[in-house]
Amino acid sequence: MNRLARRHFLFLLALALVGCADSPGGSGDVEKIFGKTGLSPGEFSYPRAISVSPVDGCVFIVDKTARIQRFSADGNYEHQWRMPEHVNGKPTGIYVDPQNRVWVADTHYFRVMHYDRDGNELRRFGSQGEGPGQFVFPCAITLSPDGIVYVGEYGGNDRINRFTQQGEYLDSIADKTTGEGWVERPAALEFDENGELWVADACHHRICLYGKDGKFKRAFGDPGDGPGQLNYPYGLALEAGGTLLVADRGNNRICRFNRDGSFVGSWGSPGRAEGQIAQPWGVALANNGGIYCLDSWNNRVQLIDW
Amino acid sequence: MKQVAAFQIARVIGWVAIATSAGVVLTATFIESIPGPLPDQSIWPTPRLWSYFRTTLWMAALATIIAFAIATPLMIVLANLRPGLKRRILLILIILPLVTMPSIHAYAWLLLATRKDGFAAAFLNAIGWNTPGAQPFQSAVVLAAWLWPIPALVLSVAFRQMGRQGYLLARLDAGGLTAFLRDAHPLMRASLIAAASATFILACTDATIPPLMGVTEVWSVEMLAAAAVASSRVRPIGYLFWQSWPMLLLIAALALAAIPGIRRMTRWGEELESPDIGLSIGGGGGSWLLACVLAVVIALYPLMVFATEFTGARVDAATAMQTALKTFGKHGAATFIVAIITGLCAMAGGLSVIDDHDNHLVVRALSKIAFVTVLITAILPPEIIGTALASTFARISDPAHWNIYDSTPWAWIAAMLSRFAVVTVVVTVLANRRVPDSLLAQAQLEGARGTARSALVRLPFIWRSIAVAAILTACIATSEIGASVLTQPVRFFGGSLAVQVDMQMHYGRQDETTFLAAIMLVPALLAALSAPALARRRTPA
Repeated sequence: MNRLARRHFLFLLALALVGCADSPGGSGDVEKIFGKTGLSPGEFSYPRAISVSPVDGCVFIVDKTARIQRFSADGNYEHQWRMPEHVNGKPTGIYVDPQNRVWVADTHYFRVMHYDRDGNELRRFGSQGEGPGQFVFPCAITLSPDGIVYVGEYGGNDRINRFTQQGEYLDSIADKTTGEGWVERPAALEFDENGELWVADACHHRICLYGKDGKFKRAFGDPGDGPGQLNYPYGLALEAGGTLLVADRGNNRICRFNRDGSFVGSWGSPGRAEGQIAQPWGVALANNGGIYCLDSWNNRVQLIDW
Repeated sequence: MKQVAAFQIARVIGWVAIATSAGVVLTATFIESIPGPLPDQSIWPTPRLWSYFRTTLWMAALATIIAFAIATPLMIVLANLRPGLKRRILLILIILPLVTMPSIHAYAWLLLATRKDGFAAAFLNAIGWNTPGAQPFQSAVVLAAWLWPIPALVLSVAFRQMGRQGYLLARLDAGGLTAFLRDAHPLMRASLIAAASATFILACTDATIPPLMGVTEVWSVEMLAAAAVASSRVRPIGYLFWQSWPMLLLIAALALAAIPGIRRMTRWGEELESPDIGLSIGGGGGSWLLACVLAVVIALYPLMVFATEFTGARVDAATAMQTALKTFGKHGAATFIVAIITGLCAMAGGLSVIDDHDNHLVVRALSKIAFVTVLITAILPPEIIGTALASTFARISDPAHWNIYDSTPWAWIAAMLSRFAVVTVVVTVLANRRVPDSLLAQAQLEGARGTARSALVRLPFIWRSIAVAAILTACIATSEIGASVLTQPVRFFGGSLAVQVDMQMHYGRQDETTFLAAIMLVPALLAALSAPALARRRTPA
């Protein structure tokens, strides 16, 4: 081994044995952490979606045991229920509407489930397939200000379907025919105050904006781990001040952008300690202005002031 | 003397590496399991778990049968090839599927199954692939496509060294099948059991292929799910152990049954003279070519599937590659570093188990303990290994919240050693047995004893085997998932590439995943290319 090769090798060895580097994250105080690993009420096994009730601020979280748990705004466990079937897979999308009802994208059962806040089923719709209104894997759900149900799906169809609240199919947007506006795994859907739709286009590592008419307007973000770059963004939340938060799953951080796509900053670094996160699948705004970070790999939620 | 000192240092490193990996796993498992099931846990598994055990057993049994069916013709040809290029080529093709990441096999089959026309679609339809509820069958087929090299390799060695002579003599008065069953089979029985046991155990414990094929109600997947939440338990390893003790008992019994067959592998690579009765049983040009075609199809099908996916019109391969490297490059670096350290530690571990009868008593005891520890740990499910290491190393911390699990990749490296150091260690022991006694006696007469004799006489004979086995170990470690997912520190370049690739197969983008899967074939190819060197005999000057 020549000297240079030996030096490189020793550097790698030292790096591996001495320790793992912390990458600096933006400053932000952790106000509270709730949830821990486990199957008991208030505990999680890989939580994958989060939504906050606009009515009472309660936090709804679905995890990989197919349980939907409800917490009070300050993180106290209140109630839970389980999806009717879960052997094939667990849901990855949840949304609480202004009537305090819970909508779930039941990913591996190719349907939308609709519950009241206590888990009583109100309706279900959807079927497997590639035709209009059918699903391969529905993964995200939200309601527009005028009450239309938007369901994002991946796994072949990769589009956003629109339904009435009764489950009647209306049309699809952001599908493969839309060219630049085509999404692959739309992991999070959020409407802004103008009725325009923001989408975390996970597999394209970007955030897209669609107009009221469903037409693609613009996108920002590119793959990587530098400032402003994204690596499988899975969660999205729009802040009142005109910024948006992105759960940058692959980079283990929460990013803040201006709506024009300019990067503001990031919070969190990879790890298990307080203020560190691992594979965040979601981000949501608390009604008091805090930010819930769904720290999926660590099986917890961190409420931060940032 | 420098050589002796270096050997001693390497041996100590090996003991430390084994003690802090496999040793930790065994100790933690023992300590946490001895008190019995947890208060909320029954000693008798629940009906749900029993049903998972049943599904696992029949799926593994079916996979073993299919693996033997694929392996048999190739084994016969391989067993009858003389050392040389032909045999090396066939060996490489046989080893490649085994060292290929299991989820790559599953992904290739999934891509095949999504095609709507062509030969593959017709073939899959013909074998009932798309029948509703066929997922366990699909899973068994994919497991077999991964594991068939085990019976092919073990039985070819057994047939070459034991069965072939008996078979050829029996052919003087009996037909082919009768000759095989009557005279060759009894001599090969131990190897047959060893091959079947190894295939069955790996099929039972794999938690990557079944979920990708849509089978989640099996023991291995349940173990992975249980391991993910086990840290909330008082005794996480005890919880996992008592949840699955019937399966662990079965695996232990199968491993014990495999030992006689493994011992006979000592003569791997040796050529025995067979009687010349004017009969040929394969290995000729025609059968070699046929075997190669079969092996190429079975060994390289993932690569072929990925290649055709890339040439598909809707995939922009260049962009996919660029993006995949940008998003997963750091994971590749982490995996590469861990694999190298694993290989080096495995090499040291191999040296640490070399035993000489006139070594100091302590040295002999340590060598034996290290060997047994590595052997036992290797048959444990990856979830128990991962949980034991993660929970133990997370506790070893200083007041500033530094701990081995979060702050270093040692838990991950230790997991790889616990699972795969056995390859290097067993190869070392087998190679060590092939050192001629006459040479050792001669060395003793000349005053070389104990460690000096190991370093100066044994090592020149076996270092090449140890090095190749260590490369093999490192390459296999790059594609491990079950224990990596539990032990990788996310702060270490984001963790394992194999775990990311597996996650991509569930959640990701097809073109990137296909590219990453193709990348993961590189270490497999390297391992397959280096492995045949183990069969070569070399006599140092």
